[in-house]
Amino acid sequence: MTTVMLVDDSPTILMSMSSILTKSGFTVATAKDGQDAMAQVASVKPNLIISDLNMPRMDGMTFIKEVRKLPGMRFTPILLLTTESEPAKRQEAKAAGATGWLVKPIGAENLLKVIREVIPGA
Amino acid sequence: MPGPWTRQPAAGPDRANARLSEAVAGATPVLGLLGAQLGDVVATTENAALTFLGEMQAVDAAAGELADEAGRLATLTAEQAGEISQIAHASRDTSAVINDLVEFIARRDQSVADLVEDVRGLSGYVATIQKIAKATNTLALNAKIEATRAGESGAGFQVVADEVRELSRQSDLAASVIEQQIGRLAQRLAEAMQDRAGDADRAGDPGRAGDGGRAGDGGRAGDGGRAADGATGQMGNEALSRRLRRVSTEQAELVERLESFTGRVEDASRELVSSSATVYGLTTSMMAGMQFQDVTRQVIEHVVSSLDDLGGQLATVADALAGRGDLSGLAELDGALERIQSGYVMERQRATHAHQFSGTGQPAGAPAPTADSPEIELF
Repeated sequence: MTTVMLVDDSPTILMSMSSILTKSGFTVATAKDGQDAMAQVASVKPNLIISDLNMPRMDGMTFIKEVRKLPGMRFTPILLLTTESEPAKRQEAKAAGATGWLVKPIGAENLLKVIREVIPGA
Repeated sequence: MPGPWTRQPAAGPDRANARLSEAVAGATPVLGLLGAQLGDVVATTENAALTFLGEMQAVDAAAGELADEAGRLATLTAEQAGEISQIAHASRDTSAVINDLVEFIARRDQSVADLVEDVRGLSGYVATIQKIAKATNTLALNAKIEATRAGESGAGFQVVADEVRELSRQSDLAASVIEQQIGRLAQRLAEAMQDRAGDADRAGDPGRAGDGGRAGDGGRAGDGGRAADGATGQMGNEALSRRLRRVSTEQAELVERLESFTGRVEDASRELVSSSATVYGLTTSMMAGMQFQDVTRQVIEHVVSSLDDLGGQLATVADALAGRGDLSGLAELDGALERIQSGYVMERQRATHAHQFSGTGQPAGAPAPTADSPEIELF
């Protein structure tokens, strides 16, 4: 079973994305910002992380840099799901270690398609 | 805690400026109120979205169960169709057997009718034998008469004549017995065909012709024992054949109706499976649609932040008009739009800003993704 960690300060995003992924057979863990996610990631051991960019306490960019430092998390796919659209931010995210960039709102079909692309066999 | 737009007591300002200062300062609480109202909108829409999502999850679960049930129904229907197909196959085999049976009965009836005729035909030979016996008897009588005329020399001839008469008598007797047997055989054959006619009568077959029940008289010479009407027996068999054919036809029609009904049920269950899958997919799409709440929240929060900024600017203006503080704070007013613009995260915000200052008078609309900003990008 593939485990996905959702990181977002919006309860609506966490609930809607969680419902879609659970329905599609994924195990889902949620965190309300980067700091909350860092506290869980070692125990959850996600196969994929989907994170927002602009969050309180620890934003997505900082979270990516920090989580990449953890053992076993160097190659875990991390997708940013954000309303942000600035090209410079994308490049910054790529340099920080993000795997991909998804602009909100994203359709369920596209989300699942991207997930299957970054995790073949999911 | 007082904010930057809190009113300060005037310290000797020009009267007009003082009035302006008051008016401008009075606008800042309004901006604060607007910000609070917008914040409430965010909270309300968030609660509504979460409630809706909860209900959607319930609908989704029900849709999932419906899809599962539809799938099970489709499986059962397919199994039923398989069973009915086997029944139809067996039914067609049965119909073929019935048809063969009907043909066999017809052939057998014809064979029996031919046999009856052949048997009756033997009566002619019996009549011939009886004629011969009678003629022989007459000849023997004549021989005896001649033997008597011949006197003693005709004694041996008389014995022969007597023996011949005896043979003639025995032949005649044998012929009578044979005739009786022929008559009984023909009667039995005819009665056997009558029995089948009687069965058809008892079954209430409307195709029966005649009374089917005339008894034979067995031993009458000359008519070959035409004791019962074989035609009636034949008609009874025809009635039986018609009945068998009718049963076969009705069975075939029943199977055809059953196959048609099963086909319609299969079609309906397939459509149900398809509709259930559609509903299941729609609920997923609707859940994804709730992202709008987060998008609008971010836009509104930026607006609230900009209103706060504007409130601060107005407080600066009010202070300047009232003669409080220096004029350096006014420099910040020049960068107000740039500060708002720098806070944008979405293409739509930038498009709206550009449109607002383009003077075209048309709404900006949602900008299309560009090569630099695709909606989905894997690095």
